[in-house]
Amino acid sequence: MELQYLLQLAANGIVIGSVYALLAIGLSLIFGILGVVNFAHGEFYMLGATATYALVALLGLDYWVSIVLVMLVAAAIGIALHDLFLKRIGRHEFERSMLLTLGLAMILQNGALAIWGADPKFVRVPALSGLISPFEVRIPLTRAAAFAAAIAGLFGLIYLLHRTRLGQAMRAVASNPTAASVVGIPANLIARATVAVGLAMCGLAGAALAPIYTVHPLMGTLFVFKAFAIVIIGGMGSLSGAAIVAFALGIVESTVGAYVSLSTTEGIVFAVMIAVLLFRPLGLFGRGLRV
Amino acid sequence: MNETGARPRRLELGIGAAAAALLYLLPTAGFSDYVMAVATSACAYCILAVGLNLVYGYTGLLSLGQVAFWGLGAYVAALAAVDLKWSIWAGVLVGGVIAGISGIAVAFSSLRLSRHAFAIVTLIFALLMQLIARDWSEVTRGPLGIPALPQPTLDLPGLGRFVFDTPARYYVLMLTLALASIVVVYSIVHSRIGRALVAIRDNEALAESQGMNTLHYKLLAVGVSAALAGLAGGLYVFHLSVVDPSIFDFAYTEATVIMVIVGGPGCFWAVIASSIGFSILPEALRVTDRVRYVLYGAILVAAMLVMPKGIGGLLQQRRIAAMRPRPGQGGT
Amino acid sequence: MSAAAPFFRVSGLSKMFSGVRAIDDLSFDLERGSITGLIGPNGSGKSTTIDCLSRFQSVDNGSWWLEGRELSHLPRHAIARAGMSRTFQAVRTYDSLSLMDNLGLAAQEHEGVRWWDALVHGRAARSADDAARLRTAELLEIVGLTRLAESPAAVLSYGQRKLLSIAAAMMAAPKLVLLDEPVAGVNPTMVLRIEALLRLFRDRGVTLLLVEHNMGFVMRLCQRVIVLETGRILADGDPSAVRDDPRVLDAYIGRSAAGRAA
Repeated sequence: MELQYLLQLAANGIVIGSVYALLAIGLSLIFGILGVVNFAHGEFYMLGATATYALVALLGLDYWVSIVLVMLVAAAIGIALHDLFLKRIGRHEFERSMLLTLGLAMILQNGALAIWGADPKFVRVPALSGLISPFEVRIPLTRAAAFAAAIAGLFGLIYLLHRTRLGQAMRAVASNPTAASVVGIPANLIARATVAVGLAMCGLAGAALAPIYTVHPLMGTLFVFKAFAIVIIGGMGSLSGAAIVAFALGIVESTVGAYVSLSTTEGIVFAVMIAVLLFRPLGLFGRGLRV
Repeated sequence: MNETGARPRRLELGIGAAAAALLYLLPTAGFSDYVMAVATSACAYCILAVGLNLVYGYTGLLSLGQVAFWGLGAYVAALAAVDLKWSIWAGVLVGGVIAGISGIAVAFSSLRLSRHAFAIVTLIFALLMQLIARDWSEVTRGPLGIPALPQPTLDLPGLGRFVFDTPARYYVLMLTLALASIVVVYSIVHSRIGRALVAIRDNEALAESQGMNTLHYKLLAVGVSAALAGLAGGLYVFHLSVVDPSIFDFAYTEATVIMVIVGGPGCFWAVIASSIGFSILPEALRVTDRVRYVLYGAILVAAMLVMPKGIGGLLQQRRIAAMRPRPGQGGT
Repeated sequence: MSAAAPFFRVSGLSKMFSGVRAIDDLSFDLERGSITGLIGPNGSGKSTTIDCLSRFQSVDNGSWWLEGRELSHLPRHAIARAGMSRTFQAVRTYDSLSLMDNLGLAAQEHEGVRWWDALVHGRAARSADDAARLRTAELLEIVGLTRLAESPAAVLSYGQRKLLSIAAAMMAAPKLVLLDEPVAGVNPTMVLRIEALLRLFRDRGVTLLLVEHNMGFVMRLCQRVIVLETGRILADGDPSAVRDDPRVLDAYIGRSAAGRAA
């Protein structure tokens, strides 16, 4: 029974971990390739969830269609974000990028609050009611769907990064920004693609979690700090490290969180993050594992 | 431009003293309690902004955790008064000291890595503080906080007991702390210490190669600004008469950052003016909280794109441009 | 240390960069009051040597002493206080501070003024300020920048910044100054000016070690030239001997010949 319960928790954790991975990898890509710390990352996740609510609950669109739409729109917004704002910030202008994206986050979050209010919204997908029970572990369809979507996104990302010229160029820039101008694909295009991909991941994450958690304008803040924590613990620049830590975080949160209050788990995560920054600044996998 | 290192100019001191006198007389003008409360919060923000300016504007270290020290001072002072039955003054003072020491600890551990680590660690530290305030209920009373804080009293020999129970009286308290903070930071900035801080901001490697132990100076800047924030928080919380985890809200950091950025990092009086402006303007314009922060965000984005040195910085750049020798005039 | 201790000694300096030996077991001594040039083709490890000696780069191996005192493990700022200062290849100045402050800072950490005293502008601070002001005025006069004393360093031209940074390096009466390409990118008039400047400081007792590409400058100014190639000493002697050394010619020219052949 005890084991069953733990498996149940672990399953939940893996689902949420896969979504964390989407967010963390997007954040890591944007930092690795553009040198920008994207404070607004969580707000785009929030917008993804909100857009899903609008499409599914208000317009009655099919859930899966909505996910694809949200990703496309997010990618477009990413390109706009790059062209309008991020393009003007140099790699080394760390404070400027942090403050700029902080400003964007403030606009998005408070704008959402002003427009939609703080009431949580619910996204119900009739097709996803019910659950599946592999190995006696009960998984609601909403979570299974979220997991499927997230894994699809992650595989898509791996394909992009390893099998396309653009993706290889992105990896080259991420590991060696100065030499990468020789790669043959214009830096501007790589930067645009990076932000587009990063934001598409946010949109996907938001759409995936919308049926599971409630949708409200403040949902992004906590997620962005967790994404930060994951990237730092996993090691800046290591995408697989981020993914591993993301899944680990999901599982730890889920299992430990059943016995201890939510705030305490969050507190532990942040404390670990500070500890890693201080004692292993390259992260647990930094420089070692690179995608 | 010999701004730092020069001894305080008589004119500036004179104007400052006159302005201070006027500010003290403000309550006699018969303003409403609401106005006095706004003025009090302006004083608090002034202290936060001046502190952040010292760390970010003059030393170049982006700290996103001022609110952590402000809140820490608040809780320490409140707990000292309620649990330990200390006098409020002692509690506020200890709150400031503890805040200062925490600042130094956070800075010491993260600055050895980089300024970037410092920025992120201060941010996370602030979040952690809020989580602890919410969760460590045995000490902090959890999400509801500690209500019904006592009012500060002063026993003046021969003059009797003076209770700070009206917004106007509170304003005088806060004003005194604000003026004291301004004097402290002004002294630092206009001394060879301030010159060293600017050197660290402008070209840290050069400073190190000239014999400067930059870490010590950075710790000094962070410690002073954290202590001031802690004192301000400790004092302010008795004005609110309740302390709860919302004292650690990120919104305080956001507002303080805006004040420093718009005033101009490293510009002393511009930042003070900016902090007062941003405290008063939203109240005067009666914008809702949410719209206010959307505007702050927009201002921050605009500033980063167009005017990263703020208004004060723009003025300085004009002065420098005017000083540049015109082509064909001397030099090499 | 014995009476015959060298003024400055480097022993066994080694530094690797991702598998490449930038500096390979480098050892040499410097005599007090000398001007020594450190030259070599690109990638021979010249700037790296200066970065290592001033601890702006970590070393894999090696030690160095100034007047018998080991500097190898001191933090950067302590090395400066021990009497060794340096300039940078990409010229460094405090752009928002005046020239007077730029120079004042160079001496500030050597004056021993306590924080409390500094804050209240006490006696120690004021007398240190006065002494610094005199020295600053003198140095600015020497480099010809008196007119711009109160202006922020941002208004200076590139060549003027080089002059300022050299003056700054001399401000705290150093024993040894490491100069990283002091005349790189400056016009010929300025080269002569800087040359005269360095000779003046040598006459005042400062020992100089400079890294440079400008051959004429090095040959005229230096009494001794050390040639590096791939991190090792190729030749070491007075300028004319080094200039005529076939191995040195080979290192500079032979390389490009090999390049053309390939």
